[in-house]
Amino acid sequence: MEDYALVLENVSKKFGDTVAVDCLDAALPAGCIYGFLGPNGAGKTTTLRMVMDIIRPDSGTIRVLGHSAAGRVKDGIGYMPEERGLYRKMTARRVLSFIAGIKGVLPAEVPIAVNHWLRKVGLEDRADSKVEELSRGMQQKLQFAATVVSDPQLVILDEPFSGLDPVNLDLVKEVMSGFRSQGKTVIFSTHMMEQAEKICDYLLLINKGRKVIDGTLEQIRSRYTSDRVLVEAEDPEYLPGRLPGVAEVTRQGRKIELVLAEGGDSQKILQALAGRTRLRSWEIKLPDLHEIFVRLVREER
Amino acid sequence: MNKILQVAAREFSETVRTKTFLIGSIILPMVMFGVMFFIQRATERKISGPRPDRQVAVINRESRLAPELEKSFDNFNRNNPQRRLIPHFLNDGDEEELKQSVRDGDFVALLVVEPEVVAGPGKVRLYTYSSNDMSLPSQLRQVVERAATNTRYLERGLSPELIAELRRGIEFEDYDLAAGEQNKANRVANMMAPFFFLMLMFFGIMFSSMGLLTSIIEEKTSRIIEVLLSAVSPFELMAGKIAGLSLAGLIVVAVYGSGGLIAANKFGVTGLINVELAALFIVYFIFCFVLLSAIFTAIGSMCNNIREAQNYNSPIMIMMMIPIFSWSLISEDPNGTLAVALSFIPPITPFVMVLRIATLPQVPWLQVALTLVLLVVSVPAVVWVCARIFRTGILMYGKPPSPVEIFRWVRQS
Repeated sequence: MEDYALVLENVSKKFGDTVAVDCLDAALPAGCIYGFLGPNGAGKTTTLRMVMDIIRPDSGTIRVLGHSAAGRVKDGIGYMPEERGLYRKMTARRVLSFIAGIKGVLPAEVPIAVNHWLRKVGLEDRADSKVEELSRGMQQKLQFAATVVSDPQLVILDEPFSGLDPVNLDLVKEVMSGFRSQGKTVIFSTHMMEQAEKICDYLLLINKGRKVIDGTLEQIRSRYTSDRVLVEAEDPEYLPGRLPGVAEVTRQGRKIELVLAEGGDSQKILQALAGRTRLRSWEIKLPDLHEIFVRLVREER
Repeated sequence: MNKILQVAAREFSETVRTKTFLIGSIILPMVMFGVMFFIQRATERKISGPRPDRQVAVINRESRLAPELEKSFDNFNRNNPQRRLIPHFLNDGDEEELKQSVRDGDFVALLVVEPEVVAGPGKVRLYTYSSNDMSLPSQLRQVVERAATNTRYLERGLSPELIAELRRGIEFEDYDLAAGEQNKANRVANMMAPFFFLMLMFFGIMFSSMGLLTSIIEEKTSRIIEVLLSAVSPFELMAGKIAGLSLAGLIVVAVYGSGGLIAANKFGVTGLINVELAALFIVYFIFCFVLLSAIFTAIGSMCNNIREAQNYNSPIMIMMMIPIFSWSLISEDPNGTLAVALSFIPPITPFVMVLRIATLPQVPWLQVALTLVLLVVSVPAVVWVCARIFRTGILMYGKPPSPVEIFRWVRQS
């Protein structure tokens, strides 16, 4: 049990007549980066808030870091809500010190942690500026620093990439990978599939409060046969004409992408192609997350 | 507990850093008490030094009174050299013209003595124009009455010497046992002291509760609330905020209170403030403070901005005004039905009780005990309800909730 940072069992939450989360099950192994994916309104934020014990589930159980309630292990969890906000009238340093303090960092260690993270996110020379005087990007970085200043075992980030420029995005991803190598667990929600694909060890896809699929990226990908084939011919100018079972042909650099028609068999197409020209490579294109996501969400509807 | 303290410490240090706090708790009282002392010193100097003479136009139609009336004015001016009444006998003057000169400010008053005043049916009329000289009518009445009675005595054949002897006054001294046997009574101070306590409580509580309201709305609008709730429970947050702001509020009360004590000392009415009163004031203050801060915390959590909060505030503000508006009624009859009834309406109980205790010669211990029991029961109940509203309200954005929704929040487990 303790190998899991977070276990959700049959968790449901309703707001009035709207079902926000519906019988959600998940087990998140400790020491990995876990992506929590879904379209807007899928129930990601509600789930994360329930994990943080900010709101209570109507039914089901949640175990966080081996405890039945996050209330008891709140200090070990860093949480960045989707709605960002810090005390506008306080300086960056005082905000970080306050949050480190209420997160249970020992008074003697607060300045060390605060200085470390101010340096890490590149705000050491703005440490004594009020939050309202910082640019939006700086406030984002400060918010991130506030989330991790207490050196938590579990980091929960709700949409951490929204509004970040590429440099800051890399910074956040670098810190997340750093946490993983320290054996910490990172959970983040996003709807930016490319980012999730690059960084996640495990993924959970939800829609309308229900789990659609979960597992490692490879597990998820292998479950979906692709309808795309990538072919590279020896003759770079070669473009096949009509092929049975192919709906669409597009050139992608040296390669040619074939989109299979309904019922099209990639093996038959290979045979047909091989009879027409000499091939250098041939691969079934694995579906990317974006594709799977869109397809699944569409199927649900 | 540690987290409550940390939230309290932040709340306190952020509050005392604001300009509002600096102005409200340091600069304003300094200016207020400074002005008070300046006025007091100026008044003292005025009382000891002469003030301008008051010119009074007199139409005397009672010729029998004339000699004694003049003497009576002289007598008054001998006894009141600092504030003389200078009569201008214009017995043939036109009343309307003279009224106009009163309006124009040439005279402070017009005194018309009708015929037959000495014998009986005649009247004396006094005309002033927007005058704020409170003592003028009684002083003029005294002057004319003395003249009329002296005339009657003389006409009955009493000698002026005998009249003077009969008229000799008595020595009269006025002490206040509450202020110590040696102290002269100061009825204005006695009336103002309970009011001062009432206002002290009112402003101390208003300062902190309003601070609480804005601070919660700020946390809500700046969306920091979720970050806070990921570290502390809603109850810890609420308790910490109330504790931090009450400390700031107590500083304000201490500043005003000590200013009031210095003032009381200066006016020589320190005897009014005893240990029992101070202790009960503190007990009631704490109850009232916790009660109202809980209410304002709940209001703050339901609203997205100050303007919305004002809709919820106004009924509470009106309720809190009740003791202030009924101050004079309560202090006139501190054991009356109204005073006792108002003592048992929880949010205003502390105000009314402080007002009554400061007014009454004896503390009504039974009622104190009963109201304290009432508060001990009602305050935790209100805090419990408010904590539940707070817990749900702080995460809600958009339209403020309807009473039905609020009721549902309270019932939610």
